[in-house]
Amino acid sequence: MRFSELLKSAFSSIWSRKVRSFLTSLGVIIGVFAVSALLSVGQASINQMNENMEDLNANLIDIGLYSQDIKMSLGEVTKIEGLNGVKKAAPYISNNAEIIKGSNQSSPKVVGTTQDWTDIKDIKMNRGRFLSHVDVENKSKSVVLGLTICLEMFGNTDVIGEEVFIDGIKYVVIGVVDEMKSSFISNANKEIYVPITTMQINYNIDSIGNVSVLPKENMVKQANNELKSFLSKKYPSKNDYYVSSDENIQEYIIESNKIMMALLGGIGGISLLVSGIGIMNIMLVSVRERTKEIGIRKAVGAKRKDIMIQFLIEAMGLSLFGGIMGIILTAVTSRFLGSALNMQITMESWIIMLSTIFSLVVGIIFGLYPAMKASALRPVEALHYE
Amino acid sequence: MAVSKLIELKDIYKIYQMSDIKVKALDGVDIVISQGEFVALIGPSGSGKSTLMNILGCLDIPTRGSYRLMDIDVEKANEGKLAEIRNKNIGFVFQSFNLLNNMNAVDNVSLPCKYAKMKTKEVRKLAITALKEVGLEDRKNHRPYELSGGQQQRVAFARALLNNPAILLADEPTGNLDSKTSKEILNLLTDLNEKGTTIILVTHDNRIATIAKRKIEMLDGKIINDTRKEGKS
Repeated sequence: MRFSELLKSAFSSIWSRKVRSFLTSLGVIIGVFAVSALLSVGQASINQMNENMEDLNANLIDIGLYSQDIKMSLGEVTKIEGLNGVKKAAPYISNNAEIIKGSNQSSPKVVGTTQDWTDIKDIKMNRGRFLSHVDVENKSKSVVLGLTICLEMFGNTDVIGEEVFIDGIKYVVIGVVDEMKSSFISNANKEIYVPITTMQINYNIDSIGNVSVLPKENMVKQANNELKSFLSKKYPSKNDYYVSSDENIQEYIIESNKIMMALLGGIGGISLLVSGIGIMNIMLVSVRERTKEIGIRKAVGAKRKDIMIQFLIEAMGLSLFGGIMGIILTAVTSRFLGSALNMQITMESWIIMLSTIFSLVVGIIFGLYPAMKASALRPVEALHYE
Repeated sequence: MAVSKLIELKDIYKIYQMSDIKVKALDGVDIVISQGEFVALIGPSGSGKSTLMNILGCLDIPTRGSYRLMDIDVEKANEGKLAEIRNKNIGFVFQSFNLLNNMNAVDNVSLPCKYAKMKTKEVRKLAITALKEVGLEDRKNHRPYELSGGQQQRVAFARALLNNPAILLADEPTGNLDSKTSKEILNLLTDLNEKGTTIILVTHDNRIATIAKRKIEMLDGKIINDTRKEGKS
């Protein structure tokens, strides 16, 4: 029989048992909905993550000391800056602090650093200037405010020359940083910056806690390795320090997101599997019910192959219908789901393809046995079956 | 009789194994049927006539013996080949009409040509012509359950004749019909035979068998009588 005729005949027999067909497909609808909705949510969160990371300087490498017993000096930072893969390095110490101006007070993160911070964090000034190497050398009591903190304390940014108290010590405001993109880890707009040397004196710290390193273009890996070997020469115990880049964090988060997606997709997949068993069950019933029909078809010349393909198409039709309905259901609900989860959920084409292929495969796998059973019926027996 | 042999059965046996006893449904049958004959195959139930019909119709294969249909050795054919023979050379008409209920009359009639992979448009044209010949052109879009028994049987005839088969096998074609409709169907058979179709009519009813030109009587899997009407060949 021609394929178009087989399609027509399969469709008409699905249509002639509407309720049963729909109920059979319902399992696939739910299964495909589960798979595609969960994958869409997972994909949406990865997309969101990537978007966040693009805004940040994802290439930055962070060096930190764990142990109180080991020290690092500004001289070491200069050596780090001399490494082949390194473009810039800025030391920093950070601490939670209390800032007071008149009756206003706030609890920002105070970062002690050098003039190089601007290059590393791509800082743009709203007012005034950032810290200079003179500030660092002179251990001046100058402070640069993050935009949020500035607005919290003063209500506007016209604050150059104002005096503020940070943990009881008087500083002069020399600049306000323009608004910065906040990452998923921290909000840079709530930071304030003082010379690292001033911070060392005021907090009685005789080392540098961290160094933020900007590698040269496309040399993240090399910079990473150089830093590791530099530090391992200096500090024999690997437990004393760490070298990490935001890229690692991003990779880690995306990796765990992918595992999550695989898990959720797998759960959806199980429901698809169950729906496949439902299809097989109904197809087996259908073969039995239509034994006479199969006999008639064989009597007028249907071959094994014709009967087999007819029943296979029916099973695939049921599962494909379920698949398409499931995809539509996902498309409709993803909007509500997106606003509920506060993320942009769009069904990507690969998810649609995957769901469609998966539902077709379910139809083929679970339709195969009933179709084979139907095609193997002997014409005499099938024809006289009542 | 200078008519060519259409069917030649030689020493046909069909043996069923029922638990531990063997049942010989056909016990050494020899028949030769020529082109254009009208044969009635009669006998009580259990005589083996249905089994013989299944074998003649290539729905089943004999346990033993040889069956030559035109130039085909049927007993050597595989399942696919048998399907092809049924499709091209044999038309079936059954007691219970055996139409497919989810299709209208045209689609039912078209079925054999569709399995012969003919083009949809051509098939439809042929099917409508066939329905016209049995006087049911105006019922072409009706489903079987919307037709009377006689009409359903006519649709079945149209289907059986669509591929211009060498033989028309009619298995108790009037068994489910009233006497008036039965007569019409039997007249249809006679007409077809006069136009040249070879017909094998299977029945248990001697009166119906009288329309045939040749009567083969069966009992216990054997042919006990084979008579031709006089004056006809």
